[in-house]
Amino acid sequence: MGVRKIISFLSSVKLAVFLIAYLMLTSMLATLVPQGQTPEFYASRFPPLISSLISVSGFSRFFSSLPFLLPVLAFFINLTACTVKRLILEIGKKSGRRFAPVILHFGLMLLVLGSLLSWQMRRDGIVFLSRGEQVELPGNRMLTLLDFTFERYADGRPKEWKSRVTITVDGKIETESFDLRVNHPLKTGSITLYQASYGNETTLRGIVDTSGIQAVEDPGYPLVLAALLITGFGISATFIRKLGEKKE
Amino acid sequence: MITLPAAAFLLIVVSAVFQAVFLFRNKGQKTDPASHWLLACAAALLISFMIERSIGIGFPSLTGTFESLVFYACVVCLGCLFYRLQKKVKFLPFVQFGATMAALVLLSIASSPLAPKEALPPIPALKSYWLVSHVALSFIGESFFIASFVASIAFLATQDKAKKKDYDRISYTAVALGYPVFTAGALIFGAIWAEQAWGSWWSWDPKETWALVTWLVYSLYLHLRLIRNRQDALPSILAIAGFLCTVFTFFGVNFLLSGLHSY
Repeated sequence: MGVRKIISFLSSVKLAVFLIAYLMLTSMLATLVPQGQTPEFYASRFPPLISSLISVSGFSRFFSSLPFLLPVLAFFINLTACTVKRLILEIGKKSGRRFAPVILHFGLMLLVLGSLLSWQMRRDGIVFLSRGEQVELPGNRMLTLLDFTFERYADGRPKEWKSRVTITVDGKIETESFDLRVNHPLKTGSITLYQASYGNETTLRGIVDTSGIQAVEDPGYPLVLAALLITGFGISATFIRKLGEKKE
Repeated sequence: MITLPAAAFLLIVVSAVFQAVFLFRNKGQKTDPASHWLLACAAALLISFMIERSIGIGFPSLTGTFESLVFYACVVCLGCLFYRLQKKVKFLPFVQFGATMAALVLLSIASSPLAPKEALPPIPALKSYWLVSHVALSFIGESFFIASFVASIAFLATQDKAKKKDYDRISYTAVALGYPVFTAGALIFGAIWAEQAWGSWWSWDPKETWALVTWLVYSLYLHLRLIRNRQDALPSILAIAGFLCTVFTFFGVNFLLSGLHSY
């Protein structure tokens, strides 16, 4: 009886409601306190008692602290228990099966997993290159900046930053003369390159423009993307069906 | 010379007056014959304005506060027209009136100094069709939340059980339509765009967090309805809170908190 009660509690809508309400309220509060700052920053902005509470409780890094992560874990368990229960229930039915909510909740389970993976495994770094410079990337890859242009609109606002790059793997060309722009990243192996910034440096030739290229490796992103698409599909299917039923 | 949005604004004012007269004179028993067509004309003017502006800047005009407010107001007007013409849920004049007032407020803010109106082509970060889908679907979703907000206020204001049932049905139907669209636009396309533009699909930026909070409020609304009585006030309070969250996400975050989003 005890075990059954625990399982029924873990898979209950009541627990889901409680956890959603908790995550909602604490996330709201976390946006009111600038995140990731030093204790001195909080001391200068808040009264002494509140500022030390923010620093000590981990509220300064709320989304990577236990008061956030433990309820997320509980939410994951709740989701999983509820989804499995629902799946068994639906399979047992002879007709009128509703799999859409199951798909939606399965997507959210994957999203929690993908987020954790992304949070733990994501690596990034930025290099500033001037024309003709090279940098080695992981996996015996070499990135060469052939050209960098910074176009402006007539009023001076930035129009485009464009880095023409070539990637070689083990000395062989993999991608030749690719125009790396904001919103047009380049995927090479497990990393993705982004046009992220620009600057200039003083060299023997005078001041030259440099292109800030960011390299990101995020093994969690494919899972996150799949999770988002599954969730989106599940939500749409759930409500298309619900709205269809209203007609009858 | 009068601008297209100003002309649209006037049409919406006339529509609102028309609706108000019928609402208060006949206690909503008789529905006015033409207010929705006035809104349709206003929407047509706003659409022509957006097309003209998009051609001018060479990109869909959804790249700033002003442009997104015009789009939002236009979607609300079209929503009213659609709501009036459909046959699936009962037409309640008060819901259309509330949404019409919302469209007026949106256009008023668009015309205020809070929203710079210069037509400028987009900076590199905004040149993305993921961004366009992100912004467009977020506001389409939020337009449904306006309907749910108005219906929920009416739900709380009335004592009549039959009326409560009607308003609850409207509120729920609006959320059921808006929630998937909002999820796709604000969260899914937003994350895909962020990954394409910045290499990071989620950053706990205040606007992102508030969009998530909004999503959690409506998720709570939908789950509460599974376990609570339909005549209960709590879901309506949540639907009101959810819409206020979208307002705060759009305006409050810009003026009170700092972050990655320029609008």
